[in-house]
Amino acid sequence: MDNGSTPLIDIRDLYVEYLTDRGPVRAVENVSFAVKPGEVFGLAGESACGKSTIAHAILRVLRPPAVITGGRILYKGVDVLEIERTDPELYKQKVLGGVDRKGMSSSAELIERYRWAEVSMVFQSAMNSLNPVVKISHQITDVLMRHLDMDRHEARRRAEELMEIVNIDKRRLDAYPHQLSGGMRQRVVIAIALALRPSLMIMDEPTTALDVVVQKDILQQIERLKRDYGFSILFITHDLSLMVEFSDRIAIMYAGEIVEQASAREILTNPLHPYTKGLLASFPSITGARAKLSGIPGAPPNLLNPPAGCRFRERCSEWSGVEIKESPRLTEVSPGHWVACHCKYGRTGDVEA
Amino acid sequence: MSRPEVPSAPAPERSTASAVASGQPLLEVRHLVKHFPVGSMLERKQLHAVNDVSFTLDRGEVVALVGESGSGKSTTARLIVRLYEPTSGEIIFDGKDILKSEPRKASLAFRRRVQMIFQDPFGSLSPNHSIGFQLERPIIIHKRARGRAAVREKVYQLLETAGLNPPEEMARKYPFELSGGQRQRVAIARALAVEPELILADEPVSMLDVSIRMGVLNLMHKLKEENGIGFLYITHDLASARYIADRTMVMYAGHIVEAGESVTLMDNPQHPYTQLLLSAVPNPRAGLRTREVQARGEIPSLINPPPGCPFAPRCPRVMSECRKTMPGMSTIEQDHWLRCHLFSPNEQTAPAAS
Repeated sequence: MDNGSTPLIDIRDLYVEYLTDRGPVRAVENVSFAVKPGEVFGLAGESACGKSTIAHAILRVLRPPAVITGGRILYKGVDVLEIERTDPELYKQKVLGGVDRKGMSSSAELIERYRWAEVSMVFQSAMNSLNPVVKISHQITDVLMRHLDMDRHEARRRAEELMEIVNIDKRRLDAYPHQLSGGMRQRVVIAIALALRPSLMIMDEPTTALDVVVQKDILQQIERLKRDYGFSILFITHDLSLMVEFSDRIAIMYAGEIVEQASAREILTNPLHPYTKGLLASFPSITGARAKLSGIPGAPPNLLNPPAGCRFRERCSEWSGVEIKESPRLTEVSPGHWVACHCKYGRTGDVEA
Repeated sequence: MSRPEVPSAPAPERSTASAVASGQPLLEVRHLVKHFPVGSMLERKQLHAVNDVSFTLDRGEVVALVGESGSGKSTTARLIVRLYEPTSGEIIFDGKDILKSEPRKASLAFRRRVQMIFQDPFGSLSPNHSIGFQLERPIIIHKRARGRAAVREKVYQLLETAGLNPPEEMARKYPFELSGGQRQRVAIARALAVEPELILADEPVSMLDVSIRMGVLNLMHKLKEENGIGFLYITHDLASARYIADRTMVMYAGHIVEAGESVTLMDNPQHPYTQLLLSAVPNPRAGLRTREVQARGEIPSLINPPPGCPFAPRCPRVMSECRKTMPGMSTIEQDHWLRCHLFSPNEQTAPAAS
């Protein structure tokens, strides 16, 4: 789907289902996108649209009842869903560039190394991702000792460095999470995610619980870190105004599917999918004239039994009234701008109605 | 994005404020203070949650109270509805100082006229009762309708007003069957059941999905326009305050530091804190890389705070005076005032004189 540099991670036709007593919930449906090296790729959508499920699938931390029912996740050209069935030597060569200090042989070791050393994650609620009864220092050194075989002193020194990188006084290493403010806790979580110098950092609503001033400060810091260390970011949030500001390219998700994908500027200035337009019309501006905004009436469909065809149809202001059983396909309408919408950019529906 | 054809668009002009014939505001808060005792038996401390807060709110006016978490905005609302007892100050509702006339607890009459909507619609509705039952209760308690049929009818009416259709079906449902946006509409309908004159809405949309927030805000706007209800809209989201509120007040560490007509205030913020806050609001059209945030840090501890302006430790334009006294109110133009030493007339013109 992308031209230009080879992607760092390439998600192809991903399907994830949650198996429930009442049947499978189709949380992620035929999702494809790619993140290039050094890029901030935004995944935007409302709650329960499947964005966090994708993040967990990439990290391979989905557990039953969540099941990946199809698709591939290519990280540096290796399908990470198939590490167990991949030749370890091939994996090491492609992902690690042939460098293997630990002499890993089992796939379990390779998966462990993939998680966090290659792809790390910053979770939404720092208070929930930090252990409340363990000092900050141990939560950072744990990672270092486990993955890099550092001894306690080395790890402590590295932890101090990491604290400095995220602008926290290193003396706070001996604090417990509750002794830090919300902003500081989130910085600690970022420090832990940075600890192993991953190539991809997944940030799932990293600043949602924070105040705007702290949010801005942290995002600016992430920008600087990204520049210094050159990692890519998969940035997940429901806050489209924040995302447009922060991301290079954006995919808009609705009810488990990507409905539009384009550069941040395109999304902002030339949104094509009615859902994207509706989302943009849900954020009042902080400048300019006041205008009535409508948001989007209605609610997302139940994914236990999603409607055939376009899942946004019922809420769509531009729906023609013609029911098309087929799902709209992502179509490239201009270079790098993809939309999945029957009404305007698909094959016209008259034949199939 | 603009929909000019819709007639009820929030107009920048304060159309309804002029409707106040008596000249008396619906609500006037004077020097409201709330200190919470904290600490151990041996070391008593005071948490200064709300400090010297004064403002007015007219009938049919939406006033936003914005600030970061811990700034005291929710405490202010809870003081007004008497969920907390103020340490000192006056709350004058419709001309009457309710702390004097109803010293022990708020009367039934006051509770009817002033209602509150909470942030979390998952916590504010009882899971054990149908929506219809939860709307009937206030109608019966406050005697808004008599007889089963009349009460029923009123419930349906409320559901329709709140945009919950079809009302007969909605009344039979239980909270778990509703989405977050629908639940918040039920909470609004419940507040409306008693025909209030003032609604204190504490972050009413921040837990809702973005696409349905506008619907709830537009409903509030409609109620203000059509029923003349006054709203105190508490939020951390400045853009939504600008969207819906006639006036906006900015709160920091228990103080209101700047207040004014919403658009004027946000287009031309004067207090360094307001400027900081606005510079941090995501504005895709401006771009992240263009503006660096000037001041770092977070709200200071409110426990036994030092004298002076609470923003002084973070303020890029701090002066020595700022660390000694809290500045008084300076009016910049009509309805736009702030508390900042930069604008105190005596210091600004003659710094050496005092």
